[in-house]
Amino acid sequence: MPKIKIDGFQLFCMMLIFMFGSNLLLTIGKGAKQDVWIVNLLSTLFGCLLYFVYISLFKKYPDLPMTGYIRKIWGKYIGSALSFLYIIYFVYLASRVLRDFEELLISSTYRRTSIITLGICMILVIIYGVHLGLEAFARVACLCFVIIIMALFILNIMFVLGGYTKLENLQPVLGNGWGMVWKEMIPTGITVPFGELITFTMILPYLNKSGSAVKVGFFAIILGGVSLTLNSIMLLSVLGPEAVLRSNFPSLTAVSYINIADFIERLDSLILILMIILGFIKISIFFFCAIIGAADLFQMKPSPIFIYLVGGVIFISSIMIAPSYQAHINEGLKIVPYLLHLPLLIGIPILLLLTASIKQKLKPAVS
Amino acid sequence: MRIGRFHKKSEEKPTTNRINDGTLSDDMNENVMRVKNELGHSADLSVRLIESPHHKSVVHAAVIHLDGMADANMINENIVNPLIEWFKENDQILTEMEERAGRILTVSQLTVKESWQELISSVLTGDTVVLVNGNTKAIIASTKSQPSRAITEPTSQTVIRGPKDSFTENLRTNTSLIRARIQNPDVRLVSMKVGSVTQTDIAIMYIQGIADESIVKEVKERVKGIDIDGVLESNYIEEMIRDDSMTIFPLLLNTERPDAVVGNLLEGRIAIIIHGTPFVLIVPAVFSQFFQSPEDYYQNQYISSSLRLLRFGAFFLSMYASSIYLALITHHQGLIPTTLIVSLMAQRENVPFPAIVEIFVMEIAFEILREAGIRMPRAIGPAVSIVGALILGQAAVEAGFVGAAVVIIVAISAISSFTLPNTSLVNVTRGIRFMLLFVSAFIGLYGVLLFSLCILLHMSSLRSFGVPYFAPIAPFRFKEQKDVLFRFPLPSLFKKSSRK
Repeated sequence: MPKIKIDGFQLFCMMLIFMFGSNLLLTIGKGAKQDVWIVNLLSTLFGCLLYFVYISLFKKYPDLPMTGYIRKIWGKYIGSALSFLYIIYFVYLASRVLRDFEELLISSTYRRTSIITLGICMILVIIYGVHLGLEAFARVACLCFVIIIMALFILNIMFVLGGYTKLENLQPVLGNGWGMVWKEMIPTGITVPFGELITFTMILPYLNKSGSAVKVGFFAIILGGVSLTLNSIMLLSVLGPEAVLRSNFPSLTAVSYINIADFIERLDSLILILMIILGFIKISIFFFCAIIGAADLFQMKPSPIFIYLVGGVIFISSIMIAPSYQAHINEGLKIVPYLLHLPLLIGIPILLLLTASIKQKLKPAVS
Repeated sequence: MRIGRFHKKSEEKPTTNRINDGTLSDDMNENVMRVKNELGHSADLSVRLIESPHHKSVVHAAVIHLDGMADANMINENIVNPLIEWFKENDQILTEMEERAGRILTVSQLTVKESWQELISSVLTGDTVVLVNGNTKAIIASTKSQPSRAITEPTSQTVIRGPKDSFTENLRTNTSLIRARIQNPDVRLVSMKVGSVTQTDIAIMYIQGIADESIVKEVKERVKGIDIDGVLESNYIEEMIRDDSMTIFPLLLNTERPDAVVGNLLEGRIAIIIHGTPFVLIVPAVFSQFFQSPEDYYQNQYISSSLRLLRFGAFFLSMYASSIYLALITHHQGLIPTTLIVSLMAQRENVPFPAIVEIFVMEIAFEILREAGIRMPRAIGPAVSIVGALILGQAAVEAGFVGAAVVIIVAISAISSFTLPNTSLVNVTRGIRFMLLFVSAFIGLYGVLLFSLCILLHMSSLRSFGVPYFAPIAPFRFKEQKDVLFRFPLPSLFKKSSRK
């Protein structure tokens, strides 16, 4: 079906950056205090299980995006309705992430700049990227991946060498018991970022060797999960659990501690650059999914006008979505995971897989 | 500048439309008259009529060439002289042209043509046409000798160690410079004519077995498909055959160095040589090639690699220096160390303009200086450099127009752009520098970053004859990294390009 192709390495880069996306910024699961890293580590395991569900669905229909096989499995009417729901969901997620990054910029350096200006600049670049297509975007994602990995590596080295890490911040391990860990993990820890990998069910059909999806995917998830765990250990040991919990953007706060010989200081801008790149990639992937889904559902070619329209919707809803940052975060932590993430990211895919396998089992009996 | 299509203005119908019809008449006088008419009794058309001493007043043969385009000595000694001698000795009419002409005319290339169009075009390229009475065939002797410049040192791509010759405006000289370097039977040369009016000679050169067949075919088709009146320089071809006509990036490499062309041919690329310009086009071109100087291969690999890294660094510096300075000074003062910001602000204390105006004026002043440096006559060159360096630099600071830091920034970004081995890329840095400047004035580092993402996206979407322009960096190909950021030792490079 699709002419454009991406290779395994590009998929790997996109998946890893996608997982870093909001997590590096917001530190998901910080309610578990000093056990954030346990949340991350355990979620990785569940993430692998979830990805196994996605990948088995993909294996059954290697040429179709999720919106395509959902209609094959559950029929035209239910399938189309659900596909449409997923498209809206992707647009909604894109605007949520966009809002995250707008708030980050406002709270760090652009205090006096209007959120609208910041958002328009970002969305214009993203529209341009989507307009150029997945191939060019995947290539840029690889370049960004290298930049991000190098920058993170240097930052972490600085944390360690600069003597900012205090491992006693991590103690006592499981001091508040397993309760908080489970509570943080069950909706948010698993769904963000691992459940959100459902976006890649839309992108996998563009892979040049569909066999590599399994290997690359699991490798990316495990590597991503481990680096997120390491990152949360690093943040906890630098800031301490209380500061992590209170801070809106813990990594920004942590980096601002760095001051080596009064020369290497004010590295916030470095992390800001990283964040913008991460946000750009993550929003674009949601955007791509919405476009691919719409193209598949309505059987049309994504015209530039359509891309601009969807971009406009993402931008406007990113502003309208919540009156303030606190409301935005509350919505993201208390309502969205239960109302949207759990059914759409976990429930429906598992049901889909069940129906598909039952159908497959029944088929030989029927014919 | 075009005044108007002469097709419509002039009364006379253009020759190009008429010559398609017909073959030669068997009356030679009629043919000669027709040639004269077709070329509009041109002053440089020379027709030498040869009479037989035995039959007075009967003209037996005519030798036609364009004065200045053909070698006059050669025509005298090898065409006119033998013909007169033959008519002296033989009292007969020259028939059975094909066999006899070969024996009489002592030139290296002889062809016999019957069509009128071929006759005219060979006269125009500098060949000599021999017409014989009572025959409908024309003998065409190759006597091309066009005025050309001597081979000199390259002016735009110089090296310290390496060959010092460069291409000239003559197509044949250029192909021979390449041929002399690869004495291999697999070198292929395809020649074409482009330009409906100028009929410019174009040669496509590649090595059979190394060059990609599909790209060779694509190049031939694109060059054939060019519909243009005239081709005066390689850019005429470049703009007609490149993949994306809206991009600022050069999608074809141009060089005036024969060794660079040979190096590229060996790597499987295709050279397009155009008559009338010393710049040869090379396709397909990828971005990293614009950072490769031929000298990289003529000196120690460590030095070449570090120089190449330096060039990459200079490329970024020349694009970003002014915009990052502007972003820091206007939007992110907090990012500059305190001591530095104090001294910077002290310098700017007396400057009445906002930082963007300050930088913009200096950048424009530099561009003016540069343009003046290229256009003005050589003799007044030193005057301009004095004016540029002293008045625009020092005096502007002293007068309080601009801060000293801005002069440094502008100078750095200008100088570093000249480390690039190819001028097409220098022009890219100029364009992007100004765009970044505006973005940076508008929204600071955030804008600079977003604009860089745009450039990356744009570059990743470009293709040059089907080859991704940003390869092998994006899409990343690990095996092809030997000659991108670093120049690996030659033995390991040669393994890559060895014959399949």
